[in-house]
Amino acid sequence: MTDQIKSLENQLGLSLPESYKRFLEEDRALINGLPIYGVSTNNYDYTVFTSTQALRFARPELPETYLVVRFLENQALCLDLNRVSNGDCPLIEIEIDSHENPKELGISFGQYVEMASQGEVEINRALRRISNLFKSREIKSYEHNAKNNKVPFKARDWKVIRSCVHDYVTGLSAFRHNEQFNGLEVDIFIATDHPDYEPGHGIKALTLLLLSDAYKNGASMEFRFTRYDHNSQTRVKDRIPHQFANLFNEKGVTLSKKEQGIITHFEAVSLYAHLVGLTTDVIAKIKEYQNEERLSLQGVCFLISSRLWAIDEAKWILFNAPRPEGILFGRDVPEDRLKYEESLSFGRAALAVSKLRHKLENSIVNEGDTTAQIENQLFHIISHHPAELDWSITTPNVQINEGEEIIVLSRPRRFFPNLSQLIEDDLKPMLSSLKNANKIFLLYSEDFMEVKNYKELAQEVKKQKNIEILVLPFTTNELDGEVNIRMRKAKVIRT
Amino acid sequence: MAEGCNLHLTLSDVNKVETARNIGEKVDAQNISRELLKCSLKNNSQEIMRVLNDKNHPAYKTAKELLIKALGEGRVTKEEANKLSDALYLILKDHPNPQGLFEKPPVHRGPGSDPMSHPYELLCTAALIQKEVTTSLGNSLKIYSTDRIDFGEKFASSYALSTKKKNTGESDILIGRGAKEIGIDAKYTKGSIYGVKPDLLGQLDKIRSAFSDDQLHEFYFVTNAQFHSDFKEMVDNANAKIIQDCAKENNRIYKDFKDITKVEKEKVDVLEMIRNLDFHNDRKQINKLTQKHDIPQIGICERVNFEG
Repeated sequence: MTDQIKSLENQLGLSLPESYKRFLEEDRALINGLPIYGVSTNNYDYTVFTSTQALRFARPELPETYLVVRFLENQALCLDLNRVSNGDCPLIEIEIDSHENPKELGISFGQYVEMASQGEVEINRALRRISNLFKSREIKSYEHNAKNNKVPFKARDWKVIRSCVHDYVTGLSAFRHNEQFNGLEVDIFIATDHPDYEPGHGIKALTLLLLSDAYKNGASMEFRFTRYDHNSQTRVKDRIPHQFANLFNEKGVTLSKKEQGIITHFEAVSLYAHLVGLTTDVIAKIKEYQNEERLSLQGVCFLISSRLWAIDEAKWILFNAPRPEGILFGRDVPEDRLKYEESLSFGRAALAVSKLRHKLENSIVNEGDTTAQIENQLFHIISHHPAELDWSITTPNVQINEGEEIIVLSRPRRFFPNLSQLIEDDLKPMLSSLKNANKIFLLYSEDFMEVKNYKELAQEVKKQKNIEILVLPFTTNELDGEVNIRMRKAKVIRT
Repeated sequence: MAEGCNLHLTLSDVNKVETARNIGEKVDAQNISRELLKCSLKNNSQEIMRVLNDKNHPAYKTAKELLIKALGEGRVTKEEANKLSDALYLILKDHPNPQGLFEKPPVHRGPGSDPMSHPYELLCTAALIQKEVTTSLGNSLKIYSTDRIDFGEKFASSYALSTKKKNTGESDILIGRGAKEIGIDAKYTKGSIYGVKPDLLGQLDKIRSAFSDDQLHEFYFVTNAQFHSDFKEMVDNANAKIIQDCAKENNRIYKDFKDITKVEKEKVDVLEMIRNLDFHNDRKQINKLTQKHDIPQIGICERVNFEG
């Protein structure tokens, strides 16, 4: 092999790093199921010599110090031999059919091989354990294309779940609800990331799935990791997977029973709150309600995690509505008309702002993210890209600059008996913020345009207070319908 | 955060996972090689031409390897595969940017077109550039440096209102000579006789339809060996049908046909006679008729091989 490596170095006029030479000497050909080219073809069609020369043909403008170790679709995985240090060099990705600059992968070849080896061991172990579960008939038989397409699993049955992002398996877990300790028993937990998303999203998604299942099925959210012991033919305690334990460390949650493979109810709830993105002030507010036995922290987390309410909607309702459980968990029913109407009005105010944010995020000018903060009844929205709003009555297109903060008071109403007075009342919460902010908006529903002199009123408000009135392209009834659907869905979830 | 979808994993899924982990075994080398050659010709054509023209160039072996992979390994004999780089050089010398060589022809030339996928298409093109061949119609076929050549281009064969059935025919090689379009279908066999394939009848109908719509003006089947007599017979039948099609549109053809064949005027069914023509022995008379009325015919060329 040494001679072949030397001959390759001479042919290409390059000096290979030690990490790659070691890989060649180990005579491996696949990493993560994908080929890594070597000095001979190994049935994978190309040698490193052919592939490197082929890239030199296809992208002649690039330096000749890139060693191609894999072609996959239109991309070449390369070692950047110009930056060898300590016998290792960074990995980069090159598009064959474009003139884009090489993309840094932020990892060296040695690290890639090592991570893949570790990952492979874990995947093998997880697959073996899943196969064992099937072999020992602890999992009920189920096929996706079965005629009777009913899922046969009860909460107490073992089930294996795969979590996928764009057909890419990012997580595998086997778990069941154990009635003996009223919590979740987990056998397998393995997660990875989709390369196109932020690091750590795979494990977050799988953890959220488990936490949500624990909330849905058990009174306690305790987790116990166990494995099947062939000698004693019973289930014995298992260690908490490193990935999972690290997630708790990252979020600052200390595990008190780590050695026993147990995550206590409070530790799990704490992680749940962090993962759904609840801040300490919101957690404190929820705990106030929890002490009054009106709702629970894990309940709110479940609502947000199952996307019944967006986090900012829930937050605004928690801080502003007199009965947040009535809206968030749909406890206010139409039979109790006054309370129901009141809850609807808070729900649609929160929903209206979500619609506004959606509009900003999908602006014709540009697309991108927004972030929101809540101060009393006001939403402070920051658009992280230039956007354009055509909902204003006085200005045809309101330009929102990148990073500019806008303040919104959401008041989607049905009736406007005394509009001037109403606007005056609506403006009160804004008065303290008027001095600092450039753009302040009052958000009304489409019903506002039914008022006779709505244009004059909007112009007057703009002139006197420098506040724009925005009109949603939705009527109050439409917003009510959407809030009602959410409340109905939430009604079956326990607080 | 990315939103995923969660599904129950079944026992058969576990087996699929095992298979998926060996994805490296299924990497599509043909597509990658095509992509590499396409980009090389786009970004670095002069260097590629230099490499193809110099067998001692250190990169010659790589270029040849890519070319063989791009057109499909093992489809032609080793000697023929070795001639591919010379053939590509000969083609690119006068025709630097043919469509459909390593990338799909544009969609407007027909949906579902594929880039060249058989080495003989390249060898056949080079052979026709290299020398003139005589066709079964009696004329000669050659690709000149002033012609435009494209590969794998489609032509519409039936116009249906239903979008479900949009049939198209394909020319492996399409020669553009002024306003004239000449289609060629390259048929390769490792044996000595190229037989009849089940899709031939459909293909002949599509060519007939392309002739009548003026999408094609000449069409030839070209092979490295010989065509089977059944194949030739089916082509003759198609040619008879083409003459019949034209005769139905133009009654001058009836008269000329009777003049040429010197038959009694009222007593014969001309369409029946056309069907029974002997295309081998009566070729000269038929050519007179087809040339006079500009009737296109399907030709055959045999033993067309690139000499390297």
